[in-house]
This record gives sequence, C-alpha cells and structure tokens, in this order.
Amino acid sequence: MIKFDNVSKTYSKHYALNNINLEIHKGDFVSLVGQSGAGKSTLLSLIIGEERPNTGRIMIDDIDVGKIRRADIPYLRRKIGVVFQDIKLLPNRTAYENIAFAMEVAGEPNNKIKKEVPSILEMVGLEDRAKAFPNEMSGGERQRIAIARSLVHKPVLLLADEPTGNLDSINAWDIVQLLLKINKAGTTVMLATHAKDLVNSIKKRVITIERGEIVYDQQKGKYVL
Amino acid sequence: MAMITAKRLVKTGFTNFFRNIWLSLAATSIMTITLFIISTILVLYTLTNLSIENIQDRVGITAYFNNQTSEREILNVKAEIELLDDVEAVDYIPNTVAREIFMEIHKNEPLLLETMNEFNDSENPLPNSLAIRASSLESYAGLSEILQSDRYAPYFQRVRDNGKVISRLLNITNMIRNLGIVLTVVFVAVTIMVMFNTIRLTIYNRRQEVEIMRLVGATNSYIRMPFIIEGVMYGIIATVITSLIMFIALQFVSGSIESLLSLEPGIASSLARDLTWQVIALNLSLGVGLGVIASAIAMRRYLKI
Repeated sequence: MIKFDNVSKTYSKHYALNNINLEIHKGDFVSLVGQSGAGKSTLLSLIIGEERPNTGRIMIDDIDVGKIRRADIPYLRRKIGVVFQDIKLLPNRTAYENIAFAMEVAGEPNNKIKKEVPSILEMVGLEDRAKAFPNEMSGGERQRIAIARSLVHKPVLLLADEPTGNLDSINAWDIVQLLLKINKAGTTVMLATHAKDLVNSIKKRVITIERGEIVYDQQKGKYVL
Repeated sequence: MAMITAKRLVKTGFTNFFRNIWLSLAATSIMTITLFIISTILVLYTLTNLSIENIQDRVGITAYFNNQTSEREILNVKAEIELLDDVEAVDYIPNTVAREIFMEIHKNEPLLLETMNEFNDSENPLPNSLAIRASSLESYAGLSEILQSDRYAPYFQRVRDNGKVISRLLNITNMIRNLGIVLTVVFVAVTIMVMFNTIRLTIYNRRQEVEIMRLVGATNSYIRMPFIIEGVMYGIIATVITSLIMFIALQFVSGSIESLLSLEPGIASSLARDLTWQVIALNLSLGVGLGVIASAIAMRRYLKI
C-alpha cells in the first residue's frame, strides 16, 4: 500500500531521511520509533505530500506522491487521516463542530454530516461530549476528537505523529487502544512515537529510525534504542 | 454539492467580514471614498465636455472687413478660408444683416436703437464680417493666427476670437482629467494597501483554520474563496454607498453645476439619470476588481497552501 523506493530528503544539505526503502501493507499497524529529529515526522510529511523527496519514489497505492499535482493533494489528504501531538482543534468550535468542519470543507452535504458525526463520536467514546469546547475537555478527550476528525473521510491510512506526547500514561494507553481498534476495522495505521512502554506493549511491527536511516524493522518488535 | 459549498463559502466570507468589523469598516470606507472621487470626476468630466460641445456651437471667430474691401473680394476671401484645414463653416454676414441682429439684440434699449436709426443704410456703421467655426476647439488658436497674418491684413480691420472662453474651458477639462488621473492613481493605491492589510489580518486570524482545512483535504480554491468573497463584499458595499450619495448629491448640486458651466437648465440631472447605470457598473467593477486584486496579493504573500 505504501512503498518507499530509495527515498532521500535533505534540508540544506543535511539529510533528514537517507535512502529509505520501506513497504507497508494494507491493514498493517506500524510503530515508527526513534529519537526526536531522527526523521519520523519528515517521513510522515512525505506521505501526505506536505514535503517532496529529493530522490527516490513514494507510492501510495498507484499514486506517486512525490510527483502529485498540487491540485490533487487535497484528494490525497482525504484518503489519509492525520493526528498530531498538538491536536489542532479549533478553539471556538465544539467537539461536534470540529468534526463537522472537516466534512464541510470537503463539500459533504448537511444531512450526511448530521448522520455521520454522531457515529464517529460514538466510535471514539465521546458521544456525550459533543457540545463541549476544546478548553472544556481533557487532553485525552481532545486527542480523541482529533482522531475522530481524522476519520471523517473514512481514510485508508491513519498517520499519528506523537499523539500521546502530551498525555499521561493512562490516557496515552487509551489513545493507543483506540488506534488499535481503528486498525482492526481495516484502516492502516502508522504511529510515530518515542514512548517506549507503549510500543513494547502493542506487539506489532516496529520500524526504528536513527539519523534519517532505518536501523531496525521487526514484525513483532520492541523499542530497542 | 456545488450549492452547499457555495453557501458555506459565502458564509465564511461574511464571518471574515464581521469578525473584524472595525477593520472591515475602514476598508469599506476607503473604498467608498475612492469610488466616490472617481465617479465625481467622471461626472464632472462628462459635464464639462458637454458644456464644451454646447459652447462650440456658439463660439467662433468673427473677422470684420474694413470698408475698402469690395463684395467680390469678400466672397473670394470667404472661399479661400473655407478651404483652410480645420474650418467647419464660414458664414458671410453683410452689415445689413449685422444691423438687423443688432436691432434684435438691443430691442429693449431705445437709446441704442435710436442712435442706430440715425444712420441710413449707406452709412451703416457696422462692418461686413465672416463668422468662422472651426472643426474642433483646439484649432481656434491656429486659425485665429492665420486670419491675423499679413495675407489677410489688407481685408480685415479686426479679428475677434473667443479664444479666451474656449481655452478656459479646455483648461478646466484638462485640469479635471489630470486631477482625476492623479487622484485615481493615489486612491486606488491607498485602497489596495488598506484592503491588502485587512485581508492579511483575516488570513492571520484564520491561520489555524486554514492549516486544518489543508490537513483534512479542503481544495485550494475552497480555502482561498472566502478571502476573495471578503474582498468582493468591500466592493459591493462601497458601490451601494457611493451610488446613493452620488445621486442624492447630484439632485442638490445639479443646478449650480449647470450655471457654473453655462449649461441648459435640467441637463445635469437628466445626464445624471442617463449615467446612473454606467456609474453603478463602473463602481461595481472597480470596487469588486480592487477587492479581488487586494485579496489576491495578500493571499499570494501570506496564505501558504
């Protein structure tokens, strides 16, 4: 589903990613681990077309992401959900409205929005928090809403960049459980993190990046650094 | 889907407009002032041009023959002048006709009439003359010079040219035009700058929203359109205000404009009526155009998509 062929990305002569070869299959749950600055975020940015590789080729299904036309990027983004450490919810909109916003801007009709947002809220377990504003929610709840928002277009791939970075271990574990649940429902998930305990307890594929290079890629891996 | 999208875009545009209401008012005001200045100049320019056309029919050069010039010579001179460039028409006015005109003009002044009646036809004190009209106002100066040259010195005792009136009017129209160009350039520039800054602030305020829109797959045009709509709104509101003020004001001042430019009564307000749609269309296209240009520049510089 995702294939990196000899992909390199440099920022002013400094390698952020160096000669990455990687294949991720549909339905995989992949943890991407490594220290800050190792290149995890760069790898995710390349997948969503936010950055373009200097050399090599990135394929998502049959789309060459490195060569995608700018006008086509929005449609690529509807296939890929993204979640960040800093959550990025709109403070002046409720949980419901934040999720609905993502559907509105993609031109979804109102009746579809009204039908689907509650079921997405239910999936992340926050159906009773629909009317809460972000500042009225806990960090864990906010992140769940962000995940809910990333699911509105029924993405085939969900990228989570340090989604638990600001959460305590219990909330973090809840988020991971949610990601696993989403993965079980058929969505490919890539989780970039440096939370060692979490990764070790997931017991799924782990890819370790160090200074822009893949140093380990294990099917039932552990955080080895 | 297109309809619901359009509705959402317009709604976002309105929200942008009202979220910074004072800034939006400032942008709308400067736009209104600009449109008002441009339409005022346009109307004034049209009116002075009209008044020139009006006067062009009346003014001209009158060349008075001296008494020695015979009827035959007069006709020769007339034929010669008719062949000059820029001459529209030449009328021969014999002194008998001139006398009738004089009597007609001064029919309410018995003293003058009496004096004139002292002379019999052969003693008519009025000279024969030619009334010459040029094809354009600019030609009068050159024409009057030719008529006062040595070639015609033996025939004419005096050449009277209404040049002062003409050149004054020409000066007024040129002044209006030049002032108009300068003011238009200055105010258009100021308007673009103010609106550019307003929309830049909107972009800044909405940067988080824009970032999220990009992440969840909003198309570039969907992200840009509300800023364009905001610019268009400034144009539309300014057009409405300007047009209202213009036509109310014209009803009040048309009388004094008419007397100032020696136009027939009623012509200014009827012209205003004729110009209504043109002025509105001009304001609308200019206002909307400026709004769109300003937001395009602001987006180009500050909206990273």
